Amino acid sequence: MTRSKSEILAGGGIVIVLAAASILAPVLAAHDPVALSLGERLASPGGGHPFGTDELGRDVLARILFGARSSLLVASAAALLSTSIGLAVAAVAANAGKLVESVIFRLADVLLAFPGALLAVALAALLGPGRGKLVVALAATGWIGVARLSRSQIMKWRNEPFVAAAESAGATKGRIFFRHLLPQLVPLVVITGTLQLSGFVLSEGALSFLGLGIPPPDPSWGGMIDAARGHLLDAPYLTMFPAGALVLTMIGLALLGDGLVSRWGGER
Amino acid sequence: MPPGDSSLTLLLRRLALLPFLALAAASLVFLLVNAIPGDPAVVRLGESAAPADLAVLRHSLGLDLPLASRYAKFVGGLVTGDFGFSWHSQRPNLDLILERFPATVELAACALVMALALSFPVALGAAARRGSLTDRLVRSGASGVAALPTYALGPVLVLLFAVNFGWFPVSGRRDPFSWLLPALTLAIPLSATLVRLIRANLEDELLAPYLAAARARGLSPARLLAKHALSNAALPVVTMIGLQLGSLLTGALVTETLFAWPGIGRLLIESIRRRDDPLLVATVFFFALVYLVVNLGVDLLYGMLDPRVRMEDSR
Repeated sequence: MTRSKSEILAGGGIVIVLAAASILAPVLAAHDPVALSLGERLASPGGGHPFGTDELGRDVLARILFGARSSLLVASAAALLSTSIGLAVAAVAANAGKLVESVIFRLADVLLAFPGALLAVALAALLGPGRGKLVVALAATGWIGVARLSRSQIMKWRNEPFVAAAESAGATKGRIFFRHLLPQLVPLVVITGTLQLSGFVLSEGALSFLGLGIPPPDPSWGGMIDAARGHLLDAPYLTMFPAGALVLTMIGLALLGDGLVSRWGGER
Repeated sequence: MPPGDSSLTLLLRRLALLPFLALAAASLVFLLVNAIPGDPAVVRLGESAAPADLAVLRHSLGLDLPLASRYAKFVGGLVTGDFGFSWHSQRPNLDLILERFPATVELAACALVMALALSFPVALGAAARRGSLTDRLVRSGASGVAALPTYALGPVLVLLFAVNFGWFPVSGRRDPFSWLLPALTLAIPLSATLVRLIRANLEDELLAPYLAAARARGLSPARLLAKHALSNAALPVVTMIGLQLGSLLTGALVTETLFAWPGIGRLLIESIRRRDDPLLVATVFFFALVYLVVNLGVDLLYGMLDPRVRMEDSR
């Protein structure tokens, strides 16, 4: 088995298990993730609560499972949105002529003048809490990378004989894009989508940690880590479990991404 | 064109571009605040505020002016160093930012030095034993560590070093060692990224013909690595550091909040929690400005280090 294949299998396996756990959260969780049980505050892992309970007596395992839901749902929605915007922008830029193209990409440069997740933080703060707004805040800068890479791919493929053949057969610009160019972009879209997914899981966690993401009492891993800061001494497991879940997700997505890049690397 | 000349034109061209990029960033921040629905006056006084009070506040905040003149006022203010007034503390935003900025620079600089000090020996050690178990462990370990989010790593480090061993203070900036844990939190993922990069570059350099020539001249393996391969492998590190500075700065948001570090990252988060929109806008713009200037510096440094970049640009 090649290295890239084992990476894809291991990473993909982790991601599939996580996705299954988040979809099946209502079945798998023995407790309600937001139900308070003040008599069982800060119960150590074991017994009826395999991962223990938090400072309000809520079951940590249930919160981890439902947290996976929030995290993966927001990250996938943001990845889907930013990939669609990125592809649409690249398609418009490729067909609308030089002027539109340079205006679009100069604007994208301006967005990139903001470091890392700063724009997402500012947007999340100004938009207010909520899952949908979180998706918008994350996708607001996420589309740029997809647009740039897709544009360079489209420019590369546009000069290939099969495009000229389609043109001479009378295909419209739209048909050439959707039937001939878009399928060529699939590896790129899958790779950038995977990389974006891990970036968005991280950012969602950071925003929730800062109190700008998933609004409480709904569980999110970042929010759980934030809430656990007051209990590092008496309940370190409150930090370790969500941190572990996050790291596992990141490793799964990183392995999958690395594997996909080395498998399709030649086409990038 | 002589190299010295072209790097000067490059410098001038990049410097000339800077104000335009800054203006674009300012415009974006202005757009961000003004495109978002909601009346800041209502946000400050509450839904049940009397219309007369709202009107007075709108007037004092300049919200009753047309958008274009507000924009002109905003940009004109930034040019003259007027970053507006904080709603919460009633002080100029720029003063608040400049008070906090040294702490952020200190933290980022410590983290950068730590990351470089950690990553070069590890990457060199792995490259010297290419293909060995150590090499493979370092490489896969680095991938895992690079994926660690600061907000998960920070509490774990606190748990380990401050709570378990009691070596370092948990938070704040008073103790002489208080910078260690926050800097380490920023440095660990960064050094993992750098280890991957340096190790991969060393691989390329070790296979390059010039190295075979040097080897044929009888240079020792240590000297080959340190003197020849490393100096070339270090070049992309400069670019990577430029790219990573953005995440160092935004990482400061989390790390400074986590460790109660009085920098501009925490200032930004405080401004959000207090709904201090003018301070939020000013801090975001300041962040962007710092990022622009630092990236300019990195590009120029890169041009100085690698003559090929200079020559290509002057064409």
